[in-house]
Amino acid sequence: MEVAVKKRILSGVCATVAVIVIWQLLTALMTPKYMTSIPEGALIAEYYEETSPHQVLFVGDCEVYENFSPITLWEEYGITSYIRGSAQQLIWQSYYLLDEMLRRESPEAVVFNVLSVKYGTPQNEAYNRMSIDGMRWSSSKWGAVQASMTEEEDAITYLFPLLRYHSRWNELSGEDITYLFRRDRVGYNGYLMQTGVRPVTSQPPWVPLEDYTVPQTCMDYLDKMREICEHYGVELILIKAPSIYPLWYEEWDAQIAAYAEAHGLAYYNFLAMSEEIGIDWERDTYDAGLHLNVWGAEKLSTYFGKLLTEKHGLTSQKNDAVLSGIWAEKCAAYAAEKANAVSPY
Amino acid sequence: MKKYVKTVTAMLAVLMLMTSMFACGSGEAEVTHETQRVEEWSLNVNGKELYVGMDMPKDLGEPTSYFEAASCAIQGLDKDYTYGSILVKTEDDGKTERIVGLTILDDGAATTMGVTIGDSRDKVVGAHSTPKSESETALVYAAGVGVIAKFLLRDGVVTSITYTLGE
Repeated sequence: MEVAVKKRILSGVCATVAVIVIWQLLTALMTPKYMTSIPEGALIAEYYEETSPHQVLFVGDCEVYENFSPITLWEEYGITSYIRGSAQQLIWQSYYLLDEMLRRESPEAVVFNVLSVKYGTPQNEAYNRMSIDGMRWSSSKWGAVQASMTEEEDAITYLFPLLRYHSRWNELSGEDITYLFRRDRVGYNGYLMQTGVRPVTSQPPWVPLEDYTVPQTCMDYLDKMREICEHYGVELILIKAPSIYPLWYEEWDAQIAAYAEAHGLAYYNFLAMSEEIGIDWERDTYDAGLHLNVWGAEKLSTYFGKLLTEKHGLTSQKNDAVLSGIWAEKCAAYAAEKANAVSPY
Repeated sequence: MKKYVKTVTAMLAVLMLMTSMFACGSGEAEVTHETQRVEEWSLNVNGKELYVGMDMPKDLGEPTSYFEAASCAIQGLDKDYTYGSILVKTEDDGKTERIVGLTILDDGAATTMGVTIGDSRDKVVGAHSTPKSESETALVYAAGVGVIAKFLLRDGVVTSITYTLGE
């Protein structure tokens, strides 16, 4: 081959590599970081930092990542768990996240919060992004993209986020530079700690709905979640977290309870069990009953841990020295953040 | 070297042109609804005429009850004001607070044509003419641009009346 041709090929390769590097740099710069504001958006990607397996995996919307504390489950019962939750995570996103996780690890139980069965169609791009952008590329992510897109979205923008975020150039801030190549941890095994206190003072009226039937799409995905759990030999547990809003209609509850019974699944409506759990709506919520604060989340986790131990056969892993070491670090970080809070007790 | 820079620049220019062909923004959906006042589908609260799409009046008086919920992870508040028999739902993005729904909760309030909870299907159709669509459980009217009025029915009787943003 002539030297000139070789030179031309080399030059072409170098130019392509340079373009790819610049493209990746721009993507890293323009993509939202979810660090100083909207930290919920960073939760999905944090899962990949985990170095040890989990006995319990949670999937669902804000009602899981705000209401359950894996640290409490570990401290009180020695149960290892991870919450793969995101804001308004829809049931098909929960399914694909679960699909991805079950290929990576073998938990004993999967816990799914059922609030999202009220949504039968894609809702909002911003929430889609928070649930999907943080996933690593796999067939699970592609499935999530295909199932989640609203009419205005293009699948290619999930493949190349710069196509979506390029116009953020005029919104760029110091955060985009600080977190260009790294992220801080925002959650504790997927739990987002909230330390505020805002009591429940009122509830919205129960406006009648035209149709209380859970959308068929949601029932189909519930089937898929059940089947994939069966395939991997994992117990699926359905829950409704104790959040007073969005409203959880008893007609929906009855359909989920019937589904659970028909398939031999456990279903716990913790909203109906709030008193038994000991939730104090004056002190255990940071936003007037939509979500629990850390004191409420710990109460709920203590209650749920007992159920997991006594009814679902989960056993303490505290005699595992490696796991104990890993969790000791997590507990210390959690305790340090909690120590800065003003307790309502 | 000059040629090399030119090549890279040209390739980047093509890619940038491609990016400009796609939707822009930070991922937060920008929702815009064009609405207008239609007298038939307004409700009177404390002497003020309310319709979906308008800014929430500041001087509407103290509600019977009030509930607000922050949108998960997204800026803004969804607010529910109950004024006796009428529920006023608003969205507040911090700059403007806009009415996005009006609901008649019981027979203490009625539509401008006098229809209220407990009335028959025939009375709704007689008062508000033929609906845009209907089923056993609902009568739906176009209530102006970007707004629908929905009468929910059970056994032929009105159980709920809501004006809301929609097609």
